[in-house]
Amino acid sequence: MIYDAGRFNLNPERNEVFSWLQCTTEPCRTAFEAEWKPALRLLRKTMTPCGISVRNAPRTLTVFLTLGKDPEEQVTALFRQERYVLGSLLNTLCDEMLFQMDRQMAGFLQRELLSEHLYMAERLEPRVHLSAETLQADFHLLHPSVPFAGITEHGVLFPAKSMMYRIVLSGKPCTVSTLHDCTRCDQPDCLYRSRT
Amino acid sequence: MITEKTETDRAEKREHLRDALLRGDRSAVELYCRQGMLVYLRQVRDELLEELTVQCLEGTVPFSQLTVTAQAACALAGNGTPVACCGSLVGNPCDTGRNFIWMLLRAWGIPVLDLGAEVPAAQFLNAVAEQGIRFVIVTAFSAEDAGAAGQLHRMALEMGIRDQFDLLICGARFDEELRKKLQLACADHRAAAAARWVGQRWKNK
Repeated sequence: MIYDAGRFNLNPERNEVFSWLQCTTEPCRTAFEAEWKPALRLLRKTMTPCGISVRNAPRTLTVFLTLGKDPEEQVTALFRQERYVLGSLLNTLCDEMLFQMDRQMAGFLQRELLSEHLYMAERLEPRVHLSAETLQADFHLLHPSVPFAGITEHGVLFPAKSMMYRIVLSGKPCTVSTLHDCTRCDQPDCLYRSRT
Repeated sequence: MITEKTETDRAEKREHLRDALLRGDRSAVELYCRQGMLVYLRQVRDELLEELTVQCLEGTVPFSQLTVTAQAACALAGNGTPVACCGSLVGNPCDTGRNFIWMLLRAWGIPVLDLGAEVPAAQFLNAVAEQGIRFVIVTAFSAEDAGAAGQLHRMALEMGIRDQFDLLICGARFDEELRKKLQLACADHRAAAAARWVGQRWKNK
């Protein structure tokens, strides 16, 4: 199933973005504040939110989320124009949008699965639970819907502003969260660690 | 003879320049450049970048502050023949790390060539052999990209040009054994540390 841009209600949270960037004090904050509106304009102009869910087994879903390829290209173009603050802000805004999509996608799936009396029991993440081979196999199921996207030999997705994971389904109601769990991630240097 | 007034003027100028760089005020930096203060500005820039980078690596100053300062410092960069090149290794399609490396090298005033994403080893080595690149900075997504880094190192040895450049890897952490095996110039995986390492070597060339 494809969830296009119209399904997502994405509202950039300035405080969250600034907190991730750690630019909460002067003089750094003022410089980033000045680029907030231009960054929002570029975000809206470049992002094409899209979510896809594919049932790859009776009790397993593969979920893919992306903002499209334009945002990353725009960020790189800004860096080459030496507009680093705007580029950095747009980059982090994109990540925030992707995390918002992730939370909203969980809600969409939950409601749709309910009609089949199914519930989300566990989230399986790349590198932590899913090997590169598994990720490639999952990706090929949904690739026709996102021809601009791809996956490397080691299971890295592109465009960069994309994510993919599996959801294990259960016939019994579950109370566990199926959002990303930082405590199970192997990226110690992630800026967003313990915040998502 | 340096009078007391001259010393005061210098201290004031220094504070103004430092403040403009801290605020990311590129227009002010450009104005000082037009007033013929380029050499003095570059000295202030180098000192400030060194100070901010150390604080950033210690975690007392956010990377965002380096971003703000880099934006203003780039007004002093110039466009000389590239001495450094950056690119992501095959297996790392992401631009983010490369963008930050580009930004910081430019901030240090180092002419840099961007080779793009998923660059084959041969392309980095061509830049060394044909364009005289001295510093090769590659970005990796994870330690799994060690294979591509190893290929770059081996090919350089085979071509007999490994001693012509310093190799730095940013993004992913590599263990000590691998760092020694690949003869990495800088043991730190963070972009700020790599740029500082190159910046210091370049200034002292």
